[in-house]
Amino acid sequence: MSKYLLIFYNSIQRSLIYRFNTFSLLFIQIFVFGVFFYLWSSIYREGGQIGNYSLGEMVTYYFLVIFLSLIIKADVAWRVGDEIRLGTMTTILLRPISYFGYTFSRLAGEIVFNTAVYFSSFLILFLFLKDYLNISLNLEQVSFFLVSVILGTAIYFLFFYMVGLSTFWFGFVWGFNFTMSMIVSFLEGAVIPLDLLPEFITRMSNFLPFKYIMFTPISIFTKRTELTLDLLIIPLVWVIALYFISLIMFKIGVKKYEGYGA
Amino acid sequence: MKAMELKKTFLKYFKIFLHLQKIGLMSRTAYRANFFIIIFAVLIQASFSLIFIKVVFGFLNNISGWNYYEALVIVATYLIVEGLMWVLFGQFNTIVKQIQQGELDGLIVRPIDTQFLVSVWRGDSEDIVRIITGLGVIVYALNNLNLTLTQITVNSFFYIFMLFNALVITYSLAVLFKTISIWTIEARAFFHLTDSFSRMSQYPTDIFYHKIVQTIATVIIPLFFMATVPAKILTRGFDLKIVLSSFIIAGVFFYISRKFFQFALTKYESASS
Amino acid sequence: MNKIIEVKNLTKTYDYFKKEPGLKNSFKNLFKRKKLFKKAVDDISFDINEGEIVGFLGPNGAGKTTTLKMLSGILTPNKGEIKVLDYNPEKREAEYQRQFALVMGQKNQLWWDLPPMESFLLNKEIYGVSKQEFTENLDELVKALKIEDIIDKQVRKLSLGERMKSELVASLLHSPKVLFLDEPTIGLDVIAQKNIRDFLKKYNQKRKTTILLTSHYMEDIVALCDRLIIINEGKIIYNGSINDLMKKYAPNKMITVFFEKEISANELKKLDKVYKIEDCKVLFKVSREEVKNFATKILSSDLPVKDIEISEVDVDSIIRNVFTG
Repeated sequence: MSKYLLIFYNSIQRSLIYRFNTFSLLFIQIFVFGVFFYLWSSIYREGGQIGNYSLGEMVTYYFLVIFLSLIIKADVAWRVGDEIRLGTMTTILLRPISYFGYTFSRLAGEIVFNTAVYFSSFLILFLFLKDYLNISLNLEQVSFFLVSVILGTAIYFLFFYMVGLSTFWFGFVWGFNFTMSMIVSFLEGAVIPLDLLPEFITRMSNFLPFKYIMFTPISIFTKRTELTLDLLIIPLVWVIALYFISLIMFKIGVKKYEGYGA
Repeated sequence: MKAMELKKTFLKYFKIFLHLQKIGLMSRTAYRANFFIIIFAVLIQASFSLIFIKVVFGFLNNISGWNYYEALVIVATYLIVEGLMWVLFGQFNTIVKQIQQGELDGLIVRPIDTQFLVSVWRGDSEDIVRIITGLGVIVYALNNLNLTLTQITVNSFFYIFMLFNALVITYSLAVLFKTISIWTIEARAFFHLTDSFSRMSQYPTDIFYHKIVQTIATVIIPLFFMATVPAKILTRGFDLKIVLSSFIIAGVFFYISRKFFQFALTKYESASS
Repeated sequence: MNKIIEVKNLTKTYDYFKKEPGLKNSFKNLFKRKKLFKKAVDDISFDINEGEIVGFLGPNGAGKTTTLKMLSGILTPNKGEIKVLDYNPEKREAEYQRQFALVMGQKNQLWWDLPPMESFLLNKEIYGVSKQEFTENLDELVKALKIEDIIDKQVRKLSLGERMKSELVASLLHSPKVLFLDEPTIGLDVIAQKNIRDFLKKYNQKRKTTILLTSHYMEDIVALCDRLIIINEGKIIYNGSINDLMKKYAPNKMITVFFEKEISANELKKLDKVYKIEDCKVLFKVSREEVKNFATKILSSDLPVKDIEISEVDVDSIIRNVFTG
């Protein structure tokens, strides 16, 4: 157990060294949020409305999309893909450590670090805009939100871990990863809230795990949905299912990888 | 005599540019599967911008004075500028990669302007799809706007210049920010920074209803000139003040970015003895 | 003799930050960092004449590559003057850049996914080489390095040796007057190393190209260089011919005598200059001038000599002596 903890700590250390990156990304996203803020504000003050979303809900939606992206999105697929492609996975396979545990601990360190850095700015900005946006929160809602975010992060991590593992069969991960990121960002509601899209897309997204990454947690936060348990149970089931599928993928893929004497 | 020299130099640089484009294309089509996947991904990415506009305009018909088709022209302009940035300059990412891998030395010692060489060294040919999509959307949008053929022709003439300026500004921003990677190895943020500026230029800058934000979006990070202005000129006709400002801002930004690049090169310390 | 390269009191200092391990120290570094300075090159001066092949020898971090980079204009010196072909490299004038070439052993300048030929053509454009000169040089270089078969194969599919040869060709297409080579044979197999050395020697003889190369392979230096400059910790500790180096730091030669049977201690006492005894093998350390006499003495004595070997102290140990002595 402690070896994973060590990897976790090392990952945080490494993030500390590259703190310039972390902070720069924060400022970039604040800028992006600023633009969306003005977009929705000017639409609503001119009398328009997007679906049945209030201005507060719209702005909060994009606010959360932007900040959740900062925290959740780690380069899982890239890292895993490179380790397979360049053969550096071998050094990990030779050690008494599970590759999944290793990858997870490493990324967990980054996610925790990012959360710590971004959370304070997130909080400040939020308190600043709270009244303008008409957002009220209660404890039950916030706890649901947090659990939902954790589950969504797990789904994101597992899915892109599997995308990275696909390198066992494809040889490189670049294009596939890029395409998948695009598709997932659309289906998780990061481009447009899912309930504003045509019905067939909304129905399709109910059968996929992606909406639980962004759309569901955000809907919980903005109170656009009732706090029912299935909002947490369904993603949990997805997490378990994806985990087992990834285990199988790894088992089969690793045999192929080792077959090359890498 | 000076004109002859200038012409010769220009031709030489143009030949090098063409040569690099050629071998860039050869290099990228060497990996067939990857090539097609990237084209597919670029198309999807471009469609997101279009889908966004379509959905939003499904609920209203005006954003700060822009109607659906005019807004499409802004997005299309953004797609074209982005496409050109990728195809011609590879988003100026070469400098970041070469500094990280210590390969900038090889370009510095060549008898060709270093900034030029770094800019055109690698282009991503697949992104031509972005340009084609943008052009297609413009044709579609112009079809649906009430403009006479004369108006379209005249406006298109000025549009090309405005597009050129938009490209110059976008390029200069990329040079300004990515050259900073000479001082720090933490380069990841730089790939995202100028990309975010471009992405945010696809919305009409009229949405910034606070004067100070408008000013920032016009002179400091000139989102105004990066897509809104060309679209304005194309869909609403010539405006002297805007056209002149476009040239001025483009000129100023290019000058500043060039000076900065030259300054940065003098500070370049390649690691390792 | 033309002085092609003149270096006077050249100094280059790097600064860097001290990084200590551990999470606590990482946090500490957020607020206070210690800035340290390192003199990579410390007040060095030397001249190189036209057509010379000069080797820069020294351990890692000694300042070899830094010096080379200052000569090619990549780095600017903190102090001192450099003149190459009457140009100041710092200015990076195109006229100067057209007359030299830089090849770095560990850095690839060829396009990875394409055949070397494409990179050759690109260099032709960049250096403005006329079609005639290009074709002539290409033919000559490709034949000399024997890479006719591989110039149309993708670079990534070539062996290290083939890649290095292609890099050399690419760098010589514009007939540079000066060639800077940084560790050109590093990582290559013995045969490739020899091929490249032979090629450089012949090329230099034919074209009188001034060559400056850094290496930590002795064989490169011994096989190619007329002159040797040894750098350690940023300072020049030797600048002269290899022969002079040998005379100064290796005044002795080793004579190994193989006897038919073990020699008694008495008999050995009669011979001096005994260095080491290993059963039937006795090593003698003899100064260069006395080698002939000593060997004659041994052979004409009635000692049961089976075989005799006269060898150099190996150059590596000579260099080591230079550093420690």
